[in-house]
Amino acid sequence: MRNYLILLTFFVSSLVFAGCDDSSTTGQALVAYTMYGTGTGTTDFVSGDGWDIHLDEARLAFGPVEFCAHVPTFEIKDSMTGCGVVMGQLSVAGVIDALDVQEQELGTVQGIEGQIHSVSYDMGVSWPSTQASPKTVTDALDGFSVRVSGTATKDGSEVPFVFEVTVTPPNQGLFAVRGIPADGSVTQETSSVVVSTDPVQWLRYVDWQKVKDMYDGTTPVTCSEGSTLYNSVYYGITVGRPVNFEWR
Amino acid sequence: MRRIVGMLVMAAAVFISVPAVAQDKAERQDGDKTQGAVARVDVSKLVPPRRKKVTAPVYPPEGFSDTPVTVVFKLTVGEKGLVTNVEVVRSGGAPYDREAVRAVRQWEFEPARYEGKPITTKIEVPILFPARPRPKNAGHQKPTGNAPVDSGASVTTDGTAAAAGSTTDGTKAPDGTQMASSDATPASPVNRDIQPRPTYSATVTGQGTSLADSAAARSATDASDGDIVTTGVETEEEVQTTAATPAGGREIVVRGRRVVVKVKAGRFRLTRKVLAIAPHSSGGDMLKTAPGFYVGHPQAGGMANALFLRGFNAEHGQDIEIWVGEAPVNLPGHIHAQGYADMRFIIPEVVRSIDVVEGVFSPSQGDFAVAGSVHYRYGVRRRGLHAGFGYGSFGTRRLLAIWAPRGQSFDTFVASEFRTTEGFGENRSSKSASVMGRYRFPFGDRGYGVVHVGAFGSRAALPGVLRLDDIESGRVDFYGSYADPTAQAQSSFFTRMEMSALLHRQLLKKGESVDVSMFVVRTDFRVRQNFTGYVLYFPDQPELVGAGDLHSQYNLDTALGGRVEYRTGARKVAGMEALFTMGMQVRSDFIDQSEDLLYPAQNLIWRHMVDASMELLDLGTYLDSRWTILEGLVAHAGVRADSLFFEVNDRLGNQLYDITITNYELGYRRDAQGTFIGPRFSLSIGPVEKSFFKERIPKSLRPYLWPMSVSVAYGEGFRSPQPRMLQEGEKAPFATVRSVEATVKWSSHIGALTAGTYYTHLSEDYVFDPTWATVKPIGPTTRMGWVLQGLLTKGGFVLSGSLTYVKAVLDSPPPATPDNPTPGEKAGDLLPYVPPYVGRVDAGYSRKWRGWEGQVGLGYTWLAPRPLPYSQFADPVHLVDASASVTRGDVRVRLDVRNLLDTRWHDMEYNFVSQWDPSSHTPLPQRHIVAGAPRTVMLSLNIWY
Amino acid sequence: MKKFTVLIMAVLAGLVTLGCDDGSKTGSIQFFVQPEWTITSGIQPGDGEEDMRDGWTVEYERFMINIGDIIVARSDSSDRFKLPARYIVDLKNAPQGGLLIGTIDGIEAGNWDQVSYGILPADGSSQKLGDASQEDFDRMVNGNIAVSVRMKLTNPSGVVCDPTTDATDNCLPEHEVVLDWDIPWGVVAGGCAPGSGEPGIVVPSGSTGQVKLTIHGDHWFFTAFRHENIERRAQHLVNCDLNHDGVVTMDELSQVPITVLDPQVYDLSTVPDATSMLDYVKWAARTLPHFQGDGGCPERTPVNPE
Repeated sequence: MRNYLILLTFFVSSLVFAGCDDSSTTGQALVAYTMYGTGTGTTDFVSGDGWDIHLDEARLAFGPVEFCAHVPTFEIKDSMTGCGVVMGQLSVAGVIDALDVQEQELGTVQGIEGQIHSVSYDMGVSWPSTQASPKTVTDALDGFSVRVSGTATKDGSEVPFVFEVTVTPPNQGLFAVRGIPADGSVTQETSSVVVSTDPVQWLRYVDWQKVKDMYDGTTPVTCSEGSTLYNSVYYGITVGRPVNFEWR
Repeated sequence: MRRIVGMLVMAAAVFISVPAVAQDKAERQDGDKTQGAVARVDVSKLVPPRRKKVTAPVYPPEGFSDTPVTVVFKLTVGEKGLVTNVEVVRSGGAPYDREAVRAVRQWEFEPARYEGKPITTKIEVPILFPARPRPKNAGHQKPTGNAPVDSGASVTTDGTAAAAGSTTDGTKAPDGTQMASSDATPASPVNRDIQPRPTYSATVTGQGTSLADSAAARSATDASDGDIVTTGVETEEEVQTTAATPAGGREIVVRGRRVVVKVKAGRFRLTRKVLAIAPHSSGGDMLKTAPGFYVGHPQAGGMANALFLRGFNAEHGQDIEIWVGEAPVNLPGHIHAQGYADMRFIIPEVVRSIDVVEGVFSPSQGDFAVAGSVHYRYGVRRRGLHAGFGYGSFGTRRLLAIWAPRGQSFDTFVASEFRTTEGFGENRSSKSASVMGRYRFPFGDRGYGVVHVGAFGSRAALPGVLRLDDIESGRVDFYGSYADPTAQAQSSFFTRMEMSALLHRQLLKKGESVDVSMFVVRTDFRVRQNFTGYVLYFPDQPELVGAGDLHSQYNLDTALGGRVEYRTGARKVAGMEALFTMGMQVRSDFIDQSEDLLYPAQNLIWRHMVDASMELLDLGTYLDSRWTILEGLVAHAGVRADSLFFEVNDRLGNQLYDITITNYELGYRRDAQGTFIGPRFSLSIGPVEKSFFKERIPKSLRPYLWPMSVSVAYGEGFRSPQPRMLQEGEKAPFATVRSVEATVKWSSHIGALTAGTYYTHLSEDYVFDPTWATVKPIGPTTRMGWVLQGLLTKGGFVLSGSLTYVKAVLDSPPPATPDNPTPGEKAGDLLPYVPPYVGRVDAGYSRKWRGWEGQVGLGYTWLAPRPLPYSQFADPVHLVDASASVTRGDVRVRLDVRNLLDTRWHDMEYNFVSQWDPSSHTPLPQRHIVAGAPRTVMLSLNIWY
Repeated sequence: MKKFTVLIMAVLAGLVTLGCDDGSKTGSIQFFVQPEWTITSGIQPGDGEEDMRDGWTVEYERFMINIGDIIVARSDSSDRFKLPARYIVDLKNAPQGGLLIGTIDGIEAGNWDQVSYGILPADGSSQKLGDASQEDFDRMVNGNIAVSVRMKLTNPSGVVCDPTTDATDNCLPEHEVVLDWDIPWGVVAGGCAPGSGEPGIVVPSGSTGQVKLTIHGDHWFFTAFRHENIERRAQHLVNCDLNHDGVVTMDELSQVPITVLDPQVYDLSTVPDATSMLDYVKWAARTLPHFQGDGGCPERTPVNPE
């Protein structure tokens, strides 16, 4: 009788221990890490058409951001909203000083582990699907998405400029910039992601000769919406990967 | 740590049965050495047993003899007056022995008493069958002068009871033949007290009880109910045999009952005794008592249950094949979930037992049998009129009426149930009604038929799922529902109408039989659900962003089908006794389904998602063979083949959203076909005491090993694919399952303990995607685990417990899709939603005194933390249910309490992306829950007449 | 008894062999190249979603591509089928059901989830198929041209505006403009998936399935490189007729900066890079390959002429 009990206890406990195993993942885990912005610190450069550009200020409003599992949207037939699986979200907006090489904290990204292939983001102005009109997320640049100011010099002419452009999402529920490539591999050990941007790229479409033609001698040249100059800066900060992401 | 403690508690619970089992066995087997035996009997203090009820043996159809045949038995009459053992002392030939044994097993006595206390005694009983010469011409009966004209056997009065139709007495028919009575209590002279001749081997066994005894506590006719859970399945066949009268006189029909035990692995039978302990509000809930089952309520009582078994998240039925009576419950191609199985139409009081096969080992298991099969069997034991009135928490009211006419089979009844409730929280009210009628009638002289008609309807409001962060922040109440109109509009509607028929007939050879069954089932399903809030956005309708994700799904399915199964009798093949079963099974479904996205007011449709109709045909055939290789060593080998044909008319197919349609019409009609063939084997040994090597077991180990049975089984099964996913001409990809199981079992007259281990591989598994309110494929998966189950019955006490462990993992990462080109899941990750440990204990006690009967019952469920997507884990669940009832005569008052401890628990847990709060964008997955019911009390009054 | 045993064994054996037969079924796939309806029917002005919003009517006079390198593979095995032939086809004059450009026989039935094909610069390996003219064929082979188009745009009240100034009075009447381009930049488009359903193709068992490789023809009129929330416009291309000769050449396109496009109307954020309108047309050409109607091939690998 006692033997029987012992036998049975042994049998049951061996089953019990066989069961005490520990794989405890079902896929990606939730993670959180900090997003930093940084610039190149380039205050002086020569433009494509030979002008010497000096920058006094180059600041970009950045956020909210969504990191996506989807391949970049250019390459897909549709899916303007298509993020596929959302891999990370920054729900606030910060300002990146592109003339400062120091990392500037923008906020905390909440997300999940895995591979990131593309990103969609706003630049200070966001239009969630639950709102009827776009709303400004950060007033740090007075509602603008980018502010660049400085002087352009060539052949003795010195032209001061202040460019302020707002990038707005085109429709409800969309991001301003949708589905551009970004490659990252996020794990539990990821501690941060750095967004870097180069103000030289922002100004690469600007025709400085035209800027000089607009200079009246005293007030810095500004760009007004609808003008080719405005478009130049707009495309400068939205076309061709103006920002780069690196995960650490 | 808690897991281990929990498991040890569970193990301890089932351990209780073990000492008792071993104890009794020791005393019974080693008569010389036990303490319980009494050395000598003082005959003067012995009151012999007195016959109370006698069943006449039926004259065996194949029994012919020119002289009367006598069979002599030694009957053991137990303390409750039932026959616990029958030993043939003198055989009269196999057919006569058989029929005589059958009859005497049902006899009832006033037990013998020694010194006033009831004791077990053995008495010798001869049974005399009259002569019956073989007729010269088959079918032509001529009266022979000397032959007695009754059809039953007569029994001498020397210490025994007589059977129906005594040759000397009884009424005479007009043609001079004797007429015998047709019921179990024969006419005089049999009705006089018998003086049994006691033998000198009376034993007093004290507390020992027998199989028949405990069953007899319920009702006299339940003698072979099979209350004990066994790895074999005891099927009951009600046999109506007519014994031919040699004189061509009136035929007498006697109902007998025969018990056939087929031993198979992984099978459990839940009988009324176990089912009646803890309260069950619906048919699906009754499965909680089967080991390894967790039955969830995804939307309070408003939808089909979510079933979890052995690591399979069967959603609403995709991995479990469910039959009720002769009709199927799973709905293939259903728009909400493949194999959707709504069991709410089942009235618990008319369920006689539930056969559960965990794993796929029997060739008769077909589509959807991936985790296993469940077969509900109808039957109402207590005959008469039964009215039940229930009133409970949250305005719950239930009206039950069952009419089970006396003198008819347990399978004949009319039942109806009406139920309404306000629900335990917001948006949980529901109303339902279920009626059914069933009639069993004799079919010829060796068969019976059953016809069944039933219908069910239900409409309920649904609360939806809630985000945990919204509950924690107070935005919504735990038992509430979101205030958004698109959440308040959630509802469900389901109707079911079925007709079925079964014919069963014994053929000429012993054990040879044919079953033919047919069914028509029509179900109408409609549900409005919004799991995700305001996530859905379609780029071709950008102006409709924020319209809300209220899905309206509709599915109308008419299913027809049938089964014909032929069983050969036992034959000798290659020196072994073999039994073959051959069957075919067909099912045809005509399905019309649609899904739209709605604005809540006036159900305005803002987008058509699906509009399709389908015709499915499943042809199946199977062959099973049972080989008795050696005594106690039984092997089953069988094979099943199914061929499925699909025709899909996808009326919204080929819709091009980006391009003007200029040169074609919308629609994509297509067809596909697929075939599955799979073997199913099992091998079982046992119980050891009845097996060929029983003598080789050393005597000291016999008490432990003799009651043991071992079985191993292997089977391959399948689940049909969602038809709308098939392309033209595609060889339909079934999800195929391979199942292996090994079980060890100890059983005795008071209980049983089962331990088993299993492994299952599924080639294509699915997981629920709340955004699209449907399932999506995740690739091949593997499940391994073990099961411990025990049952103990002693006196009025029943204890049943089970603990199941499963490790369910992905075999490989899910397929890459454009939305998720590098899925994060990898091989070895746990499958979400599957609870790794499921524990259940049901304990019940009943007692009678002075015409009152009281019963109390307690049920406890434990779910270990369920894994969720994104490596989260749900909280564990501990639930206690209790019931108590008092019965006097024909009136019973019962109090059921579910969730006795009023725990706040999560019935279902999910982890997905939703958008409910307009002020914040939430694209990351969040925990969502469906609240479990709080303490719910139900008081019911039942009256029998 | 013996006969019965033999019978049972035979039935079982038959069932088992029938079951074993299942694994080796194969089928065939036929690939058709088919033009989108705009190539054959043109684009009309109007306010509908598919209409030209700024009043121009488009008629295609020539639309030829060099298509080939069809690859069919599956992610769960190393099997791959490739049709290496390249064909120069005239989509403007293709039959209604499309042009058959390849067949794969003896391919295992079931799901093949990786399908890709290319519109590639023509070279000596290209062959002429269908009604393509010899003259066009030779020109494409000699020039390593991937896509050769000629479109006539008409608008009775049309104008051409100087794109280089912001002045509002910079427009002159022009009622007919021809866009005549020989585009050398190609693309290999993979991961093809139909509009709804699983990526790739399903090969039927024991029979032949058909797959359409749909070529779109109007992406240079799109205001963004996608299909949703875009308009078709032509004015930005018309304005590139810098010398007012009624023909917009690729050279003229390269002289117009991308900044002439209004960011409120055009969304270039997903373009890998662009400086001039020629870059705009280059990327538009790389999005032409589609699949089974409105399905797409999202994995686009640019192929540049050597």
